[in-house]
Amino acid sequence: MPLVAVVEDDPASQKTLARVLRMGGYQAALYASAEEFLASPPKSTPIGLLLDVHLSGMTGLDLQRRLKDEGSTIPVIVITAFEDVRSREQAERLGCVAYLRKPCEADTILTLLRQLARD
Amino acid sequence: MLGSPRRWLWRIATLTLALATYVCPAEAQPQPRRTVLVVHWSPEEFPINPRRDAAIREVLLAPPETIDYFAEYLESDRFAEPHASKSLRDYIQNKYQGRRIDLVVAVTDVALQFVLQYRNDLFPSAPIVFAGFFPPEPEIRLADPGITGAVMAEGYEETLALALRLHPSTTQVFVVAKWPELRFDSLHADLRAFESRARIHYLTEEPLADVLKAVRAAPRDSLVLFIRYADNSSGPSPTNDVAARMVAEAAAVPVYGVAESNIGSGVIGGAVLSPETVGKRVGEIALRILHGARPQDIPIEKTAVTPTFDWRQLRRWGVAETALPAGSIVRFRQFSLWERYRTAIIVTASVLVLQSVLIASLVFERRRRRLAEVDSRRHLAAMAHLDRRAAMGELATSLAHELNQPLNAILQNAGVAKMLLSANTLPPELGEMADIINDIRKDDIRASEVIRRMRGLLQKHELESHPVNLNEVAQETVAIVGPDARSRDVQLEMDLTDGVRSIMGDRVHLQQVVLNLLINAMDAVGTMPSERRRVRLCSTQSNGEVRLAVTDSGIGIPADRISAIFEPFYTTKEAGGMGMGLAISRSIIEAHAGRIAAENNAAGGATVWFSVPIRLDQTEEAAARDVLASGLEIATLTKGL
Repeated sequence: MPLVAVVEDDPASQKTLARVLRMGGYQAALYASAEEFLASPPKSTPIGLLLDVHLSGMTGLDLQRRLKDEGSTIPVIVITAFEDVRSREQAERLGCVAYLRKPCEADTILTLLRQLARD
Repeated sequence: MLGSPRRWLWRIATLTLALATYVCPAEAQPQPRRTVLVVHWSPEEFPINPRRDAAIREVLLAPPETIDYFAEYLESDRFAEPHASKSLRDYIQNKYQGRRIDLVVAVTDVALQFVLQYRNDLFPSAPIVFAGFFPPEPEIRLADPGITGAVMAEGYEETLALALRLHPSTTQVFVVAKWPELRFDSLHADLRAFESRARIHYLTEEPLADVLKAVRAAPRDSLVLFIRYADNSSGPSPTNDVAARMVAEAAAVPVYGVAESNIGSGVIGGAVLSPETVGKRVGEIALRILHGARPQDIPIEKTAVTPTFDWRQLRRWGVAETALPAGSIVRFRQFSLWERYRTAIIVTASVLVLQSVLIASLVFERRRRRLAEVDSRRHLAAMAHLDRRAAMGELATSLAHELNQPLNAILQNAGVAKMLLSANTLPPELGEMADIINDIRKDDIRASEVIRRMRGLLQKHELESHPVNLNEVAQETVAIVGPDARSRDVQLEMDLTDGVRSIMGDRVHLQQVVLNLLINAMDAVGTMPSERRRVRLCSTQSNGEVRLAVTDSGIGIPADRISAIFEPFYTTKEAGGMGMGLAISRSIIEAHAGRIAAENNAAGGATVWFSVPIRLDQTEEAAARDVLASGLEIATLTKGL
């Protein structure tokens, strides 16, 4: 099963995302903070990273920057509750493949992931 | 040489004598003192006696006269004759033994009769001056040592003339004249001249009761002329003055009298003999005789009558004082309180007015101050509301974030449930469904909680007084600012003492204070490097108070500004917060009978804390409740969130 990594600090949102991914036939690697992700990255390369911008500690944007600096090629899908034009610009500049605003549908996420798999 | 010494001595002596006589005038030599005896009669005219006596005395005792003045009273009205006269004769004889009487004054006809009767016994060589209605016979008068004086005549013609002048519309006159010696034809003759002017009714025969009936029935344009009334025919009758009073009371028209004693008993006035005038005339005649004139050479004079009025009756009958003839005497003038105490009244009134003005202005000032207080509280409430909104504005993003989380989860859960249900390959996994639905429910509650918290903060309401646990308030507020703190990279810690007692207060407003302090603290550490951004919220309880302190690790407050930060419009934010947060917080804490203060920490940064008393005694509690209830606006704005 393909792996998708999730960095989301809200427990409820995390649980729901995991359920959605399971529904879509993906395996989920769940992280509650950017630091956790960096400290113990997934064993196999995920096909995508669902990233919340608003995190305690290192922000999602910072993580994006880190990944880019490390030369990561993992596609990043930013999912955020914030309606922040500046954050979107920054995320896109840092190479996210999609910027999703909460609340977003389970269907949207799964469609996006299927697209990624094809690419 | 001018002359022999003897001649000079003579000259000096003469000069001295001449000078002496010049310097010491004749007055220095004592004049011989003369004795004057005045005999009065004391009947109902008694009030008049002292006035007459005083008038005579005034003339005779005026300097430089040297007169010894004595007055005696023949009381034959109260004591039977001839005992009264005889005993007075003996009394005078004994009393004045050895003293030569130089002149005798007899006041009234009865006194004159007495004086004439006992003249030879008592004062054979003294001239007599009399005042009475009937002069003595010429042969008695002219015999040495002589008699002269003043005849008192009742001026009823003058009175009637006066009355008709003052009441021009008079058409009838009722004349009351009944006394034993009355000579009707003489009276009639005297008054005939007036018959062309008005119809005259003579009440000379009737008993008093009929007289009263007649005057009671007197028509409007008529007058009463009361001359005299004395009727002893059928038993005791009222005295003249009493009769005058009765007539005046019965009459429905003005009553004029001819005797001075009438005035004051209801009679409007009349041309009467003034006792002062009589006394003065008699005194002056006596003085002339004492200075050498012969009584026989001084003609008997007729004393003039003086128009005299009762002020009260003038008012009653609407006669103006200006209509009275010149020289009229107005008696019984009642000065209104105003006239009598004018100065005192003005001063008192001014003082009262000034005091009232002072009191009114003080009351007004107090009212104005109260209104201003209420006004300022209203302002504060409005500003508190605005401030709350401003604070909330800052957390708008947190709000969006917080609501969006549960909503997002619900949406995705619902999406998965839908997928499960539409997958027709496998039966829906009921266990998973139950889970999903449960989670949806939980997220829904979470969302409403957020909305409830936010809505509470956005409502405008009056301060309530309920038990509030400050720890709970702290936790709720921390939950609200949590996202904001995270986004700002601020470490938010709570150190809440367990079991702090509840205080009486308004939950939402206290929450607003904590929110304000937390936001300020987060702003304070904004400039610090991210690992040094720490905000700590502590709660403690001691001395009957619960204390909440927010400590930040910022740069602290400048020492000279520490107390100023609670003033309105104090702000260090460049983006221009209103600077009202701490001022409003202070007013909220003060409304809770608490204290709020700020201090710099030894370890750096500042601490802003507030304390609220746990249990207030009854008066404090009531006062606090009054402050809470009375101050702020009541309007509630509920916007659907």
